[in-house]
Amino acid sequence: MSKLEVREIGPISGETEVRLADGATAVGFGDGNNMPSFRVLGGYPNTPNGTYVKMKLEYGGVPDPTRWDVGDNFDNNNNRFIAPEEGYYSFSYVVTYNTKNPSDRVFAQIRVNDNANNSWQVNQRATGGAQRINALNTAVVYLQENDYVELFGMQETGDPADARSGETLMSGFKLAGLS
Amino acid sequence: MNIYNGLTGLGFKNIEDFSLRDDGEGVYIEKWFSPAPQPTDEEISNGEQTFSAQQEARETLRQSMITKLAATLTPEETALLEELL
Repeated sequence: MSKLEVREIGPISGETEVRLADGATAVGFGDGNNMPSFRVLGGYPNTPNGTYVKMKLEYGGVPDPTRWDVGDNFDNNNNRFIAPEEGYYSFSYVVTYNTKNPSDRVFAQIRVNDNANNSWQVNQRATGGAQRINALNTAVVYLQENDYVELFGMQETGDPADARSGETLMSGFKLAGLS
Repeated sequence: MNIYNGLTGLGFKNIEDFSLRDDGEGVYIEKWFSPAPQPTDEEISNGEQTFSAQQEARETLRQSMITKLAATLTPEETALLEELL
């Protein structure tokens, strides 16, 4: 079988489509799926006031509508996603605490390789007294193979507080077609 | 020692001046951003006492406000005021 290597395939001038011949199968046209993909849940009990802690996240081992780990790249023991290959990855993350006072803040932050200078952070401020505050964000991050991503949270209620399990989460996937 | 309260008592602000972290074995200063030198443990401990005094003064002020306002309120309104403040 011969191999044809080209940079671009386009339609004939004046036409808008490129069609495969009868019986042909389209395979290998780039990474058409956004894999790996994961979504994990967790929290952190008794978080000290004004202090970053790494969220204890886990994939339960059996995929369901709230948790999955397609590609097996989430390290449950260390609560981190490990990139299997270089590329652009999209992460969405939420950290949830119950606040007590107006202007209490909740922070959500992802870090690459435990480097606070290589991080993406968002904070959400309470607007009243006791509220359930979700600090949420999405970030597209370029990772090298074996880079790892972890979720950190912080709260400023003045006292220790629990990052709410089931509402604190991180999800992500590799962006297909970008390199 | 409560590092957050100590640093706050010394006038430093979270995120702007410092960043704390806890890996499960106690809180520590992970990053120091302030142009001022990072305080010693002794200074932080002193700051904690300042913070406590500030909090007590604030609570005294709060109670004073409630007492003054309550003079014109019904018991139910006073109870709600205490809840809100």
